[in-house]
Amino acid sequence: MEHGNHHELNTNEELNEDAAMRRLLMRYHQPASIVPPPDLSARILAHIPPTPPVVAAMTMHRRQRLKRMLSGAIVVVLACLLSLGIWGIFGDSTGPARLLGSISADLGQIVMILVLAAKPLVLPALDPGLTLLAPGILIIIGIAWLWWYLVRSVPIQMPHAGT
Amino acid sequence: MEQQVDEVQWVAQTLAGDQLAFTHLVERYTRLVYNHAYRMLNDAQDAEDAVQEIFLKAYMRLDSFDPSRRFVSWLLTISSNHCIDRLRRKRQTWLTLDDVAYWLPSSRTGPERHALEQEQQATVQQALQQLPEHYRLVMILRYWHELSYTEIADITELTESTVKTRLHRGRKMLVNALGTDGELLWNMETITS
Repeated sequence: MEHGNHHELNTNEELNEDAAMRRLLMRYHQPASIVPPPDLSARILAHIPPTPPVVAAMTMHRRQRLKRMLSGAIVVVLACLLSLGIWGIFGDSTGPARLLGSISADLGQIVMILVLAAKPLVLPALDPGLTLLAPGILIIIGIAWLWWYLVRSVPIQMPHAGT
Repeated sequence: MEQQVDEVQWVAQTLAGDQLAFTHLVERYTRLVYNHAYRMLNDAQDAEDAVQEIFLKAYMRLDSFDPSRRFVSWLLTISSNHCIDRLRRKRQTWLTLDDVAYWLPSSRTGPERHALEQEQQATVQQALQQLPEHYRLVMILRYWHELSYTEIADITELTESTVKTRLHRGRKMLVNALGTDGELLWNMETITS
């Protein structure tokens, strides 16, 4: 590979430091090139789409947009369900259905079903048992953190350093 | 220069739909990108994943490659940004079971064990990890990829004077991170020069 242009170093001090760092690294047998796994190139190529780059990028963007829209739709549906559930619990279960007309009408019945289905989503949050569950959750988080901390302290294995 | 002509040609052929041309680029630069990712991320498995993602990004953005620029600089720009993003994400994410399995001490003999024995190289690698990521990046680009200040400035989107400042501080940080031995050797080297 091309070597850095030493003439760019505009002061002697920089030039000396740069050269000294190279010599220091040489004492530690650096810079050393690491040999990647032999099948890495094949794995990279296996991930490359079979279509030309521009087409692949367009497909990827379309997929990302669709994914974002889908996630947005899921969030909106969940928020609506939760709102209906809250309305059903704290207010009148038939309220949302009445807004759209009669409860006996098709649309009214569907909304009514949704309200009843959404209630169990909200009810657990109001359960006094949840307050008893909170310390347990904190203990689990503490154990998980300890596990993570101990695992992270294990020395990381290094790949093969070749020439 | 001939190498660059080849690369520009391969890029054009890939853009025209010739997958084989991209294979040449992958084969030429897998080792370089892997080394860069490993130095930045300090984890072989992470580096392998990063290399695959970097080449996929490069493929998707191939039409943004400016033929007047060196392909290696363009690729290292993508690699550097990707590694810094990955380091940031890693700070925020939880470990997966795969990570755990990878980090647990292994009884297998192999390249990893072989490398562990190369203590001196590992010392520098570990010292390098103590540098903040932006300082680590310029140090790797300068001393492991042997790039000029102009190229480093181009890749990192910094001015040359900022690159010089970061390198100056990065050298000091690396020497400190190497401990007493490193400081002694550094003093020796700076006195002799």
